[in-house]
Amino acid sequence: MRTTRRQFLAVTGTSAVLAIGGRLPEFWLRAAAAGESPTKGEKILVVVQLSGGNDGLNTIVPHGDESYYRARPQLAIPRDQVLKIDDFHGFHPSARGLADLLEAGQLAIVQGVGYPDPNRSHFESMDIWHSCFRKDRPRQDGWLGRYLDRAAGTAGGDVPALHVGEEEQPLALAAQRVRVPSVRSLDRFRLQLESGEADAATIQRLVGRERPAASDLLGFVQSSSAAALEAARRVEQARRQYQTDVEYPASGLGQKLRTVAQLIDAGLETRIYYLTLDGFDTHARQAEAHAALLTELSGSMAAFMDDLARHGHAERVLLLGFSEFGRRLEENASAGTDHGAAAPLLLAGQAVRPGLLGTHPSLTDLDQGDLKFHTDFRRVYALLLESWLGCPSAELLGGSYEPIAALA
Amino acid sequence: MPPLELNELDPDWAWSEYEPDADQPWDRRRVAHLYRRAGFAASERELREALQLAPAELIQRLVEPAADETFEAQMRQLVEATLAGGDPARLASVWLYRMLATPDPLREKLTLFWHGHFATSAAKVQDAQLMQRQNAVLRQHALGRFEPLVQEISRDPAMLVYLDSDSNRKSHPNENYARELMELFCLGEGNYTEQDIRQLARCFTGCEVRRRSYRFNQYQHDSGVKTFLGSTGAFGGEEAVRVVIAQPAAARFLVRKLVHYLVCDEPRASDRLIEPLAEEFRQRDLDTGWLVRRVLGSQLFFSTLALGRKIRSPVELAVGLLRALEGSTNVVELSGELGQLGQQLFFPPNVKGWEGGRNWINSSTLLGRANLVEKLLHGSPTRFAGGTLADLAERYEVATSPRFVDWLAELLLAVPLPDDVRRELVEVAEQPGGDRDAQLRRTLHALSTLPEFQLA
Amino acid sequence: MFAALAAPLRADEMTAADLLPGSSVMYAELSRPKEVLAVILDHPLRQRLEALPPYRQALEQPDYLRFKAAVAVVEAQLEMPWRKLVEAVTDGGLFVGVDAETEGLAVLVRARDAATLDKTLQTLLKLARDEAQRQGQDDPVKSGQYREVTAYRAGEARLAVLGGWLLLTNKDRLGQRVIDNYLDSSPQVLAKQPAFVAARQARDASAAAWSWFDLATLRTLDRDNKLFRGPRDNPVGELLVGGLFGIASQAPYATVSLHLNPRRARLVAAMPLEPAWVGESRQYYLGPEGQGEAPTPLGVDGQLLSVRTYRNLSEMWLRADDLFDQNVVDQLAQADSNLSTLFSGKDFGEDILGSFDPRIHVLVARQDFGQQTPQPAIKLPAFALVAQMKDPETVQPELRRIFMSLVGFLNVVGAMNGQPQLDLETITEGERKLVASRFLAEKDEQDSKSARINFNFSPTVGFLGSTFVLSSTRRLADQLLEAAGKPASAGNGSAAGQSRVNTDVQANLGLLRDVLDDNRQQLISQNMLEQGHTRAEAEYEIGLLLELLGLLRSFGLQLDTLDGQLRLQAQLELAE
Repeated sequence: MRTTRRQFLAVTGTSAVLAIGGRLPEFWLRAAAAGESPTKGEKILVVVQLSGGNDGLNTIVPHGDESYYRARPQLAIPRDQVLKIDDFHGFHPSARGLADLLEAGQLAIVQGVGYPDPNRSHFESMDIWHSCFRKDRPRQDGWLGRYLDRAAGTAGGDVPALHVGEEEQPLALAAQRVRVPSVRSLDRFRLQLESGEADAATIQRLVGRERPAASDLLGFVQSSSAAALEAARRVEQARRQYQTDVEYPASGLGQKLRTVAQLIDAGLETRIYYLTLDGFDTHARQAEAHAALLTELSGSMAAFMDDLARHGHAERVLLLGFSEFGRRLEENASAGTDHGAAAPLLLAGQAVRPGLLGTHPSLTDLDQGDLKFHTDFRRVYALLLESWLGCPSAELLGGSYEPIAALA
Repeated sequence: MPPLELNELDPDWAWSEYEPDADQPWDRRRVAHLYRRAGFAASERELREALQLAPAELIQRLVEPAADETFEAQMRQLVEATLAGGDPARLASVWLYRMLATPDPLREKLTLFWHGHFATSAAKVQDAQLMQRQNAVLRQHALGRFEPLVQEISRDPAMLVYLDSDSNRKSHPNENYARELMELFCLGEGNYTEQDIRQLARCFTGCEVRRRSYRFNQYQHDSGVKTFLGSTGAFGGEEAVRVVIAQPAAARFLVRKLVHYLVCDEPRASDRLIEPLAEEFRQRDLDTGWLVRRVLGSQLFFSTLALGRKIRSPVELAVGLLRALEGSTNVVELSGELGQLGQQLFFPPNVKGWEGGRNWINSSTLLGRANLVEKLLHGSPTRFAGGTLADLAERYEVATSPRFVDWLAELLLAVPLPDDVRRELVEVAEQPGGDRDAQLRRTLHALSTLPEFQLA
Repeated sequence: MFAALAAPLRADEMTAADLLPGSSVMYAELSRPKEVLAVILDHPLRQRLEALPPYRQALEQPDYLRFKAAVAVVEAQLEMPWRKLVEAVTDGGLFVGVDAETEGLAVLVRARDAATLDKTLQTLLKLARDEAQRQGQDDPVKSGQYREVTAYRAGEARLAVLGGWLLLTNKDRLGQRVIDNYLDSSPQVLAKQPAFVAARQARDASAAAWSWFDLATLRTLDRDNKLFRGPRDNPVGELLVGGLFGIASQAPYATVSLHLNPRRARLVAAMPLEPAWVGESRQYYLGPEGQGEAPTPLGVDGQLLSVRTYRNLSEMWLRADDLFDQNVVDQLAQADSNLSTLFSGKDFGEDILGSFDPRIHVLVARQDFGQQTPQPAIKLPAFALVAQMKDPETVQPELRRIFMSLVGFLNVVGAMNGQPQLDLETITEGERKLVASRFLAEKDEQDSKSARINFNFSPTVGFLGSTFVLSSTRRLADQLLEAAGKPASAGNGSAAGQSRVNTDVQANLGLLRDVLDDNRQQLISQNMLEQGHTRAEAEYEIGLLLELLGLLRSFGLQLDTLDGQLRLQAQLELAE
């Protein structure tokens, strides 16, 4: 049987405490009280960053528009291969997982997302997406970091956000007060014990013993330690017992999302997970490379959502997939595409209002050869902050943005 | 006098010279406390030697230890060889090596303080040589007067690059350094206005970094009259620094920060407690060495309001553990692990440095701390005085399991263990399985998972 | 009855292959253990090694002391020093067989005479029993009869003495088969297996050790066909050993022999080779019909490592679908896109890799900085790639341009990271053309002898006729172009009966020691940081490392074809 954090706390008054020492130590009470904080079992946001500039036009294909085929004699997806959404839009044939998610009512595609006066440098545009600000002002924190600074209560519990991956931590997570750990695997959440060492139960017991003369500071460390060991126990249990019939792709993203699913199922209070899939900067010979990336992305996303549903978490997890920019409409001479501007953005989860949101940007009314945006990305952030994470957004986004209507 | 709340204390008593008595005896616990704060930890050898001295004598030795030229020469070689590789992350391991081996740990402790105070990250500076030069400046002035330190920092290439002030022109005075000088380095928020910042920024125009060195470009310097913080004149950078640190707020700001660094994390010390010391500090021309000696020798420092009232930073945790047990290890690996725990030397998270205190603690870092100790005890080439933990215990005639638990607790913990926890640790030590050394390491690991271990 | 009478007569003539069953899939022999023992124990280096402190420390370990005590007891009981004893017991050789049918392993030892063997075995069994009794344990040795032979069992091991043979096995049934073969002459023995007979006849009698693997049978046992598929998830592994897997999946058997003398150790693995076995997918590795041949060697000063090989990289890149798993194919597709971007839109597999001949030469050489400044604090060796362009007229300008834009790219990235800038120079000397770059030193760095690591490099491309050189330094590029300009020395021929070299690796270990010595200060610092050593400890450990490396002269590895065989040879040579 899986024990959620809430269930665990519900039984601390009885058997668990008897096992630990007979009396209800004060720190358990404190931990239990902390357990009633409003972040409990709350909604979770998983961000998947597509680094390099995903070719939106070959992800959501405007197969109903002749100008698409004219602009891309080599790279356009032939009509008969497009996975059709309607008479105009369709998925890349490798994005089967996305088509399945849409079918299941779990995918919203926000079209034409971008920002005014688009910057076509990877670093600069990514920094804009991460911080919401342009270069003319200091950017020490990111939109999620500012949320964390605002939302994080006292220190000591589970980390409020987690970056899963080896790459440098994204600016989006940079905060003034809260430090977000970067992890590669579940190992960081385990209490490593050599054989022959005191077992986890003994350590948990030692940590849990009452400290009669404890200062506030010791009391704080004690309750934090107890929470940490408890989190480790749950993660360890999840690692051992986690069973899923869902087969994740063997790729990096698939395995990282599998780790996230395990942590969510272990009842970790972490609300934000951040992952990256790199390689979208397809200037030359794009077709095969992009197909492989979309296979990895869509397969991993579909497996993740399926897995969450089977473990009963699907309704509280939302996945955001974004890239720093789309790519130019015209293909280049190397059978690739160059940096562009507006592109579609993906939101996946049971909570979304499924389908296409907004219209496809015009392929004839262009801005220096690139698609024009009609939806500012900060409107997506506004939705995520206000409706999903429950936090006023204007201050965090440096202005008031109307949330898009992408949730059911 | 204690247990009162910190801010209810009589400041006269708090800062008067520590005199051992029945309440606050000069014992192994207090010697260990002093070493923990005025460095990283005392070894058994240091403890025994220290108890032969009066508190004031010992503090004098810690503040002004005999120079060790051989050690400094070795460190120079190590730094030079490491700089050849050009990787700033590698410098962090050299610093850790120094912290573990130095005969002058208080200087390293203060250098670490100033590194957090004048936070500069190699992530932005990207130049090991510049980071090392700044580190040397911080070490040189760690226990000196504040003014020369700030003057050096104001023309330190790493700092100027970090704050985007490496090209400061009179037509566009860069306000970044001026703001941080007042907000973070000297005065604290609320002691200056936005107008002061704009005026101060004009004083620093003409400061440049060219070819990795500081240069003053007189053609880019605004030589006009500036008015800020109540002073008026055609100030240049040096004079401006003097104006800033002459503010009464400066002494208060520094005393408060150092008291929290050396004495206790919380609660925030009141002006009433701080002001008498700040006044003396002003009279001493902001001499940090004097201030440190004064704080370390105070009644407050040896009271229960100070004992165990700090949370160990990751560096203090690892270096403290190793120094207490005369340990050496793979410091390259260690510096990476410390980064995972949130304190990578030369890479502070932002201009404010490491927040410290409770912010060090969450589920992930607590598990990480326990796992770090695990790794030090099992994975790395860790040695204790060149041998095993069992060898070390034997050398100091720590023969039985109860004795071993008590010995570790004395060396490593700032607050006593509850009796039942102590008893159970003895049981852990006596569990069958493994040789003597394995038993001792198992006990040490279990001890390191306790909440007491996180306190300094 | 006849067999029982006949057996003792035949026993002296029997070889181990007459005793091992015909279903054996692996056979190994050490025909003259005494000689191998002599090479190792009487080696002139032994004294030097024994004088080293770590060796002496190892001799003081409790485990070693216990072992030494046990040996002393055996020596006393048998009244013979252990080396003489080992020589007597293994006088006729030591043999190992792995049997597929019983899934068992058998070791056969041929003693000088039956009496010594029997006495030794009885002494060892008695010691084991005494020791068990002393510790209050049950008799660890059980004995029983099979036909007229007494067999013993201790733990998983079964032992029996068959005349002058000692048999040791882990399976009852295999033991019985060997005893049967000993008592009755059987046609179902390894010595009558045609594949084995063929291989054994071709054996080099001077080999100290020789072994044989029945690949055909191993393949029939390998139901998932995984054994010889090659590293499908690892392109580098495929590039290194893929061709060997290709042939191993066709050849009937393989042999490995070891040659030892006091100066060198050489290991030779060989398989029969038929041109038809090369197959399409591994043609990039062995060449059409296995005829691919490494280029003629070029010599340079201070040569540390030379790798010459035949690999058609373009073909491998384009055949990725046949050679690798889907995951790798996807990754290569992404790499293809990135590399094509880097090479200004040229198709990396076809246009870039495809413009070179498959004969590749890579060299690494120690750099002599002399008094030159700026001199880097960390002294890295120079390295270079030499290849032949298929169509120099078209390719040469392309490569020059790509190189120049790469240098420009490095300068832009370097400038952002505070790295020194590269200066470009184009040189034409007769037929030779070079595009050389060098790092510009800043004022305070110009006379430095502890300059940044960048000053190890002066990236250069050079052209001479169809020869293309890509080198980490200008100097190495110059030397290579000069060497390439000289007429090739004869002898790398491919006449019948001569070896055709596919890949050749030569490493000068003495020079490697010198390169490490150039960087002694760095190594000492690294040792201090990574081992937590004091300076004195670190100096000692690095000194020891260099001393040990100083005992070695060279290492060589060669893959070639000769007389219908594919051979892989590795050789380690000691210093004088």
